[in-house]
Amino acid sequence: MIGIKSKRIISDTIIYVVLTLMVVIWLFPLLWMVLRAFDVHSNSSSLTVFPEEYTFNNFLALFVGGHDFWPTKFDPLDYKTNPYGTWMINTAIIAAGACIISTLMVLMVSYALSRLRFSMRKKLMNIALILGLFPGFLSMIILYYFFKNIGLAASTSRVMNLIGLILSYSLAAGTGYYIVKGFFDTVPSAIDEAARIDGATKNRIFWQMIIPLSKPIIIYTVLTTFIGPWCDFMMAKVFVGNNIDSMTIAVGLQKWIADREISEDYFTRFCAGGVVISIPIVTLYLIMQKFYVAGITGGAAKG
Amino acid sequence: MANETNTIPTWKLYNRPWYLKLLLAIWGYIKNVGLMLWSVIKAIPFKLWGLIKAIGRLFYGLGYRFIKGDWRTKISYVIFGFGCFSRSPKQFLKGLLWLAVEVAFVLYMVFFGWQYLWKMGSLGDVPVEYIKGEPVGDDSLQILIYSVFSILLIIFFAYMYVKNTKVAYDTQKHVEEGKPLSTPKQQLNYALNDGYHVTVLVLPILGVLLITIMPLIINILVAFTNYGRVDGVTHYAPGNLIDWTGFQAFEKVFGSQYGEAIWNVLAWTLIWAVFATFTNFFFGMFLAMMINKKSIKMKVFWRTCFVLVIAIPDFVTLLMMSKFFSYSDNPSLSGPFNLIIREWFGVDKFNYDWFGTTVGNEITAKVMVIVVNLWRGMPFTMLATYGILMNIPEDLYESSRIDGAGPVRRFVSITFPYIMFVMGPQLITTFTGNINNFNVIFFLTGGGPNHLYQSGKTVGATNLLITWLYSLTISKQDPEYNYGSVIGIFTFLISAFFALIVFNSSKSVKQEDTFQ
Repeated sequence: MIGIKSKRIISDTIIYVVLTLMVVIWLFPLLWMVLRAFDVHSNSSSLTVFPEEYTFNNFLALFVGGHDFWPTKFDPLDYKTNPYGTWMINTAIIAAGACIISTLMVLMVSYALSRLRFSMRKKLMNIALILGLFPGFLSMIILYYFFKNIGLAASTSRVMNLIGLILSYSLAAGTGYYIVKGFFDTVPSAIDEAARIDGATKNRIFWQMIIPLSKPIIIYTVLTTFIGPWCDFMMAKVFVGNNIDSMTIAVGLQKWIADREISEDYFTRFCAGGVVISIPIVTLYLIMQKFYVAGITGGAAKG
Repeated sequence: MANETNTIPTWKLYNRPWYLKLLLAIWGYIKNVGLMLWSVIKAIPFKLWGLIKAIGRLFYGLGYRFIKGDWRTKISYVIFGFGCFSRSPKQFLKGLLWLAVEVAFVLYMVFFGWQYLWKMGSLGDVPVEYIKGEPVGDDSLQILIYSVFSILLIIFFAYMYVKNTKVAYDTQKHVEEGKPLSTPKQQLNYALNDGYHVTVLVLPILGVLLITIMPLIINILVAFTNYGRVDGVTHYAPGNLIDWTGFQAFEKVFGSQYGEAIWNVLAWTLIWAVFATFTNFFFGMFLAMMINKKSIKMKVFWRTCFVLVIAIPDFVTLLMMSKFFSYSDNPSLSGPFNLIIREWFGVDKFNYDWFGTTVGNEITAKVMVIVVNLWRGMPFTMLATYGILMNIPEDLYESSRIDGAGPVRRFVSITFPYIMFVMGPQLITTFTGNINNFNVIFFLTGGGPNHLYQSGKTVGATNLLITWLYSLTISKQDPEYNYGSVIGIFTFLISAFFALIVFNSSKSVKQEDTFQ
């Protein structure tokens, strides 16, 4: 007979072994990418799995351009066609702009659907739920032509392209009210009633009572609406086309890999670029981890 | 939360073996979904009847108010806001705003809208030519876009028209009953208080109309045109005219042009969605349970390791993966995975084409995208399930332990039903998400390897409907927008089929008030 204690030790050991194995498998490709970002060679295939010599040149080349022969020669001409810094600024502007508008939209819709009672309420919720389940991709091509027609896409002006992207990421964000509304529903309605008796308008209740009480879910919304455009590829690819100055990081990095003529010369720079773009997001994610768990299950458990 | 533990369906299976319970549980779930679908279909005639009644009521109201109204109200039927600003200076601003709506609409229609609207039937007669750098002629696509935009505006205007007559009539009644009319300050207060839902919802609804609904309508209309390359003849606006061609594009996609390919692509799309959803779900669940086991230490560490994978943007990880498994005829040019097997595991001359790019090994490519998707997607399910596991009340387990239930029994009777209860609707959302999972396929294989059909067409074997749509429209030399639209509608219907199930089973719509 095996005792309960030794049984537990065996099962724990198995779990530890399985977990360790899985972590190794899951993290190995990432480790490979991070190490390759410091490689002196630029191609994706090499004679050794990990680099033989390490350098920071790939990271420098991101921001000053550079030719891919070892040792890296910095090259402003190359930077003109691959301006990683510009892409980064574009991505940041788009993500920040879209984040602000989307958050406002989501908060307003959530408040209306959670707190206000009006005749179209149920219908709107149903429509939003159905619309929210469809991929944005279907309407993207036509939206692109519409925006191109009014000068907000595939334009020669970088500013217009960025505005177009911000609008297309954020204007329809209201349909994603689900989780925030779930949170607003849990804020006791007694608070509203007390404020109403004191003569506060619904507008005031929204901005001065509900919003301050909902900090965690607002942080969650801000983070998710920021990360969305920051990581998005499709919309930016369709809208910007080949205008190098208006590209986002995703489009630029994809160009480095997918363009067969240059992909072998840019691989380690892609790794470096990937590492740079990931640092802020990874930081956000680690901070957000508890919000993420709470957000998903909070919304779902309520559901 | 407490009351929900009581509602967990255990499907009346106490004294049966565990595998039967699992099967029955899954069957019960599928049955529920079927019932939900049926209830949706059943409701359609009633909804239609309701719509007809509502339209009837609308016209009745219009006529009723016109007959009962005095001359000011009657003039309001032509001049917006007349009933307001002609009655009292207090209502002047309000009336003026109504008038502004009408003037803006009329100006738009006269100077802009009509020239597109009245060409909508033919989509233009003269193709655009450039004379001294200025485009002259009819841009069919522009006509299509702006005429749909105008039609939406007309619908909005019709709504405002009815609303306007109501306002005029209400104002008249106020005066007749001797009540004081509202001052501008009161009107503003209304916008911030009783009418606050309008104030906060106007922008989001306009946004959705413009960004989602209008393009969707146009997209559907494009499917009935020849916009693209049909039988070797190109129809690209603005250089060429586009024409309405009825169901020709549908016939081409499901018949002569892509008839062979589309069912294969659909089948793979569904297979992919099932595998991608369930591998992630089950592996993620077991991973979460392993980490959540009481005696396991360093829980945050294990969790964080997996979260790292999803924290990095997916275009980075997926593109990296495509290079990690890359293949070349020359072994020294292959990616690191082949190298690792050669060098670390000592398999001589190992060089395998994981994504089937050159050899055209479709099965491996298909398995590989599912495997890489598991690598990428499992941490999401792990996180979500982890949160649920922490919410399961401990006393449920304790009482089952007292009853002598083993770990398998506890999983089947408590953990799994609980997870399914919370994650069930989400599972179908994930499933629809996977049907349209563009990124994984696009970044890993780009839809390849090519599959040659008997008709001589080649379509990528790992293409989902959505990536196929992309390759037909955006990345193609001679895009076929009309066929793309047909495939878009097809995808839309398939997504809608599953979306309806989620929509009907999401209890937050039905039970939301119980929490306030």
